[in-house]
Amino acid sequence: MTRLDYKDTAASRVIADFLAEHVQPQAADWKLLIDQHPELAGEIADVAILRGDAQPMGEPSADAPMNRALFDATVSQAVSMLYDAPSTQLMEVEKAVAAVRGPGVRKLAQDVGIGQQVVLLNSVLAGSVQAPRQVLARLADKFQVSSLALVEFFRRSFAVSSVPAFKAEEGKPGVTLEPKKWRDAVQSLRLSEAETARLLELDD
Amino acid sequence: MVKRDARHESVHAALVNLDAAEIRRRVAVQSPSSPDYVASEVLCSMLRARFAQGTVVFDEVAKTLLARLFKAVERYFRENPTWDGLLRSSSETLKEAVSHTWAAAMLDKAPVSLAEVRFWPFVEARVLDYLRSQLAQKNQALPLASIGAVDDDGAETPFENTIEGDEEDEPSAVLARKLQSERVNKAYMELDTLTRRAVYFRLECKYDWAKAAGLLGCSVPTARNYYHRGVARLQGAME
Repeated sequence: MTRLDYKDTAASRVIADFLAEHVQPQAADWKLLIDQHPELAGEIADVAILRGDAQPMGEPSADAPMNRALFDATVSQAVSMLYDAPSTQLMEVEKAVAAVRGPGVRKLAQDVGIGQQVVLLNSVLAGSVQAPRQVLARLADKFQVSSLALVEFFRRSFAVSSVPAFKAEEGKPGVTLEPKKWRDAVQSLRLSEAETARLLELDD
Repeated sequence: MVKRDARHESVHAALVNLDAAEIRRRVAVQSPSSPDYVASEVLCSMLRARFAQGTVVFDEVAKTLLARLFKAVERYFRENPTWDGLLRSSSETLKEAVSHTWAAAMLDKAPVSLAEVRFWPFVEARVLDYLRSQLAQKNQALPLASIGAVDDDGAETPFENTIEGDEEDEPSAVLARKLQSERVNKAYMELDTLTRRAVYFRLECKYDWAKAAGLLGCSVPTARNYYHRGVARLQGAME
């Protein structure tokens, strides 16, 4: 894939925000943008000239043609770029989770509805227990990240968690290949019926 | 700060609870009118979060979004023949424009990219940004001193002395209307950078000379010269 020296320029961002607000910008709209950003006047003028009265871009239809050869020549590098470059969102999640320590965990457990069962929250954050829907939504809101990034973070945390060295007390030793389901984790705590029901509802 | 659309966030919440087979089925839906169609903003969010990276789900999301990008940019170029001169300047133009846009969306360091909120305006801005860079490379600014007139005796007259005085300063109303025509627009894009901008600032924005010159980073007389040169060339394109 040919890779330009991509630079996220101020002009790119300003114009992208502008086009998001103006589906069919008129000359007066462009002029106002120049007035607001005189330092970018030249770039804005060039884009205004280029765009002219072009139809805005939108979702392509299912039967829209595509240069298949060009796509095939490009796709592997496009995907590789995603493997090579770190995700800002995952880094934000990592930072947010790392910042939750000590008394912070207890407060967070209260805030997301888990209450006193801090061990459950720790297990969720470590990825060893699947986050129930409501807890996931509240964590996403609390950390200001997407639920997609959170779930991916938990998946990776589980994948790199160390395998415990243990001796099987009964039967064969086993290694968990998947995070424990929320229901199983809650029930394993053998809490009161009311508390168990309350916690299970967090996955509704 | 850019914020995601609540509708898209609810799609995120639904997707994380689906199994891989169902996610793949929905991602494969191609018709935007289908209720299971996954919006490009959501696909972009999935990739930027590296959701399910290392699995076939991740690779299929990437291929789907990239295919949509190729289709949309190809159509955008096809429907705007004014850019033919720029697009033909290299056989790699479509690939480069898509590459530029893909990198912009995936490498954006903002916690939430505009691409996750309004994907197509984001793409359009990046494609236009790419075309702008192509335009800048194509039309390097020509110093006015290099352009002049040579009479039959071989005497040279610098360009700025061939330009009409202030009484010819008024923007041409006819030219302004004609700027909508494809031929004139193409000629517009053939102008060197400063000349083109001088015409735009005076003709389209109707800035006074002081402001136009300030935006061009030159003196008022030089701005006038750029403008008049541009107008002369565009009027030539109208004939």
